Amino acid sequence: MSDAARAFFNGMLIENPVFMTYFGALAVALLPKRAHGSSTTAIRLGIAFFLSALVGVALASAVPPVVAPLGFLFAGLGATGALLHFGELSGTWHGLPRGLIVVPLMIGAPVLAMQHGDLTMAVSHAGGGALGFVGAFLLFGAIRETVMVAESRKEFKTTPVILFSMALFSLALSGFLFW
Amino acid sequence: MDGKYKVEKVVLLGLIPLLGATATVPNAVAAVGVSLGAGLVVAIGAHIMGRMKNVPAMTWWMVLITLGFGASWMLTGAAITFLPLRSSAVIFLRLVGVSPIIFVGWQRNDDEKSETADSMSRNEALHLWGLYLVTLLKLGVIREILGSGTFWGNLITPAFTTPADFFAGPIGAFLLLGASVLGIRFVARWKPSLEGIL
Repeated sequence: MSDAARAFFNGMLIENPVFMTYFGALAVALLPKRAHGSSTTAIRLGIAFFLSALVGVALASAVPPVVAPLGFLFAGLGATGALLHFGELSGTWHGLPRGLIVVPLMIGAPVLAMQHGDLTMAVSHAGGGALGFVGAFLLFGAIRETVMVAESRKEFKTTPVILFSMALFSLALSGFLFW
Repeated sequence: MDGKYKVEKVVLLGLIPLLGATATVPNAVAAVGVSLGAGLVVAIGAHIMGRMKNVPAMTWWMVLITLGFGASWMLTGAAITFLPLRSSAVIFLRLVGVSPIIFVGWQRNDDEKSETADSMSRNEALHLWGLYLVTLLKLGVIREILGSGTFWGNLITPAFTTPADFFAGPIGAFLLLGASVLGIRFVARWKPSLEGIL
């Protein structure tokens, strides 16, 4: 397996941005309410994640290391702004704008990708990460919808079952190894 | 029931540092320090901007995010110098400053006046902050003892025991946070008088 392919699969599975590196966990725990109708939001978030990583790595590579964080910040805020422009994440959550839910993911994407060396590896890793995020988003839309109608005690519904499901998925993903 | 209890709000608002920066006690202590520093910088920024007239909402939040991110990035550099941190925790510490918990209670004055259904008072935000810091330390202690058998790097469990190392990884992090929320829901069900505190 080539280095780029390994970076792609690592980004999607072993370093999945939801279950293994956590940056997308909040977005996946809160945003998908049901399976049907989540795909557009998932794809938009996935594209924003990929572009944020791409732009952030390019900017951070082009400037001295001491100002590289500004590149990550610029890319992350730009990606979040683009999502708001396309009508995603409107409204508030606990008095905060809902856009804040994805800010750690969008700033974390280039920071994670930058750890993988050159631009080719970073792009491969970000592409895998974006696909992994979209998959997790759709999966948790379905889980949330199933749990809502399940005959279980209301204490178990929503947040606890989402977190326990994430634990199971991280257990499953920790079994992968690419070389 | 979603987000009804304060602990549950804290778990969601601070999810990323609670998952990523609590594998050991030093990591959790660093997360507490970085969170406090970033929170203080954001509070000062919000206070200064609050005195200005007609700051657009987008500018307000972009400035606060920039301040939080910058503060946590720089404070993490200091934490690396003084504390024995795991390398995997550094990336989460650097991004503590953009976690939603850092910004609770700092909605714009205009937003407060609008009295939206889910706006949050400063007192409630302080209560959440206290719970957040306690949860960080609690998770750090539990995960290090169960996951590594140590406390601050010193072996405290008998030598014949084998630590359940999944507690130091993502599986344990998700399980413990899920158990915290579930536990609070059951406690509040049996003791409704505790609902205001929990």
